[in-house]
Amino acid sequence: MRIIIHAKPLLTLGLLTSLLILFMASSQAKNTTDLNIFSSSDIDSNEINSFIVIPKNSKIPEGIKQNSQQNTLSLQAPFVIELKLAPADDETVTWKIVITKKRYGTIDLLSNFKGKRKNTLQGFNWYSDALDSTVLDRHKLVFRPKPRSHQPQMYKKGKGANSKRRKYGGGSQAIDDELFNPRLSYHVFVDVEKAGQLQRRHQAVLQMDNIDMIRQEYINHFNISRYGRGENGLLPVPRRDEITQVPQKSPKLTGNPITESQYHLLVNDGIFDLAVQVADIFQQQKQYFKNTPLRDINKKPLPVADNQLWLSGGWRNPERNEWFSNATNGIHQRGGAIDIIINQAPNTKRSAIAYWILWQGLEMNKNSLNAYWQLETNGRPMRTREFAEDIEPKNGLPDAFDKADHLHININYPNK
Amino acid sequence: MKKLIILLLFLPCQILAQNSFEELFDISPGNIKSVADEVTRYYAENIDSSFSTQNQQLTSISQQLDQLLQQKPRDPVIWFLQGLNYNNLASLYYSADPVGSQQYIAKKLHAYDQAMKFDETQQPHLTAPIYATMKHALPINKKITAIQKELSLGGNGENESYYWYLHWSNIHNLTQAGRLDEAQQATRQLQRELLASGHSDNNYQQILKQVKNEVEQARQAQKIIHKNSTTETTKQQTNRESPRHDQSSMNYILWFLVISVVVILIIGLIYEKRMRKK
Repeated sequence: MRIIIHAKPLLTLGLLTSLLILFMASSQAKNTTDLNIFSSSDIDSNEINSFIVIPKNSKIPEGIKQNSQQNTLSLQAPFVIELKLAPADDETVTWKIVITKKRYGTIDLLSNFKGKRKNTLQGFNWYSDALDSTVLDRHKLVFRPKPRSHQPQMYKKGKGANSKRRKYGGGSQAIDDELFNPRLSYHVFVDVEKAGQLQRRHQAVLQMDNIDMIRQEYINHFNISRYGRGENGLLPVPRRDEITQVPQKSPKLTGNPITESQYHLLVNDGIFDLAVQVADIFQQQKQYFKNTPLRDINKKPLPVADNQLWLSGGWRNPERNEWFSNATNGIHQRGGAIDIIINQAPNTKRSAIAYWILWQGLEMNKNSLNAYWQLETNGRPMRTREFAEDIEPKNGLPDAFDKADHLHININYPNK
Repeated sequence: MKKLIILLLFLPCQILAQNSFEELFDISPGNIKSVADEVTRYYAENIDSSFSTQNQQLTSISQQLDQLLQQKPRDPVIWFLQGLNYNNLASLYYSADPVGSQQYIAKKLHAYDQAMKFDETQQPHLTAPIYATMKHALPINKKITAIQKELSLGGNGENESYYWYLHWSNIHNLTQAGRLDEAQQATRQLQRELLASGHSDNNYQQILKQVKNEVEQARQAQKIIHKNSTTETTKQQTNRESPRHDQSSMNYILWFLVISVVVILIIGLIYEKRMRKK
């Protein structure tokens, strides 16, 4: 007899069963105040049972802002979950770890406990045997997370096979829990039994918060290249206190928020003030050219329209940066760069004139502006020659301004 | 670790993207990597060597590309590379020899034209960054085709708003070309895509409003031109009719004169006959 197995109902059944087990376990469980939990060497992360995962044998600098003191992240702190009330000699202890998604990987068990590992349809479980008083340190479970490694090849721009425009990377338009940067979480249960009767049950959930998810993005992108090609990223990981709430945008700024990341958090290393400064300079410059004629390279007067600047972007989390930029070490990820567009049909004479005015304003203010700027087209900065030539198209304006698709400006990062 | 920190501290402040052909144009050049990377380097970087050295190198690249085109005359990517290399030459000649520069611009346009033509049917297909590069040089209808190709490939977004401004560019150029029905359709498409991608906030609605205004103004202008041209035509017809009246009256006069002459001749003949009889 041929047995047909339908995968979808099985998956659903498995998922429901897992949820039911979790629900039953949690409904019986006492809260985590009965457990001492160590999830991270960072005090703030530890307080909320959050964490980051540092790959084996890696040394990653921490502290991303220009004036940061740098530390080194080199060793994954093991998770330690400990019963506050030690079990009696006649009691047994049974530990269980539930990982609800395959994407979260498995664990490295450091406690010397006998038990079983089980891959489920959804994820991974580990159960200890019932541990009696002969087992050393049975009141304390120690393990390390072992997630799957980051796959940069997953990023692709443009349209996919179904002709739909691909969505942006995780943590940006949407945090894609499956594909890009999963919010890793580990459910730990511990049963204390006496003569087969349950005496008490405790549970703990160790889960990344948004700040640690962002930090994990930096770790995942350390020493890898974009789409698996080009130079490797070597940016430091932000400390927790370097990731802050998004400030309210100045009414002087039109366009996108200072970050489009859906984390609603950012690294701000001066971009907010920089954006306001640029908007002020552009305004002053337009005013100046209302009284003084602006002339093209053939000395013919040019009209100065009342264009506005459009803030295209500021801080990018590494996932988002991988989608948008060729620069794996790009300063947008440091919270030190913004992109500005002229709010006008691009590559027109009108937008070119506005870029020229903005450029002149920045050059005139270069002594008071602690920043570096460049006009970019098609993922590259303009060449020096393009500021003098008039080929594409021939219209009396230097090609650099005709072809620009945005102005990139970043604060200066001094060589310390 | 100390070495790593020292390495990080001495990384250049302004870290730029790498400029290989594959990095910039998102397509593997296969076995013509060295030529493709060299064309890209000239296109994307400041080259310090002398005019004659650059001229020699770019001309040599151009010859190599010609040979490649003899082997693969319908390869869109090689045609693009040839066009880009002519652009590099035009740029090199710009200040030294403007006439020479113009010749290379014409050659570039031809090469880009060929690249776009063969891209319709031949592999490997051109990518969004390639269309983004070519569009600046092209006459308006070809430029629209390039922009629309880039849009259909999802854009070459190196910043967050690029894709939406590319839509605007498409609509603007359609409007400039007088293709207003297409511009209106493209505006509706932009509206749909903004909505579908969650960009329904006030800022993007302002862009949409500006785009719609641009198309509407062009339509109004077209109506006025149409109306004026209709009035002009009527006037011209009216103006043409007056000389016609003059012509006909001239004809009448001519006929009158001819008939008068004939009548005078007949009267003269009759008078002469009567005199002879007498």
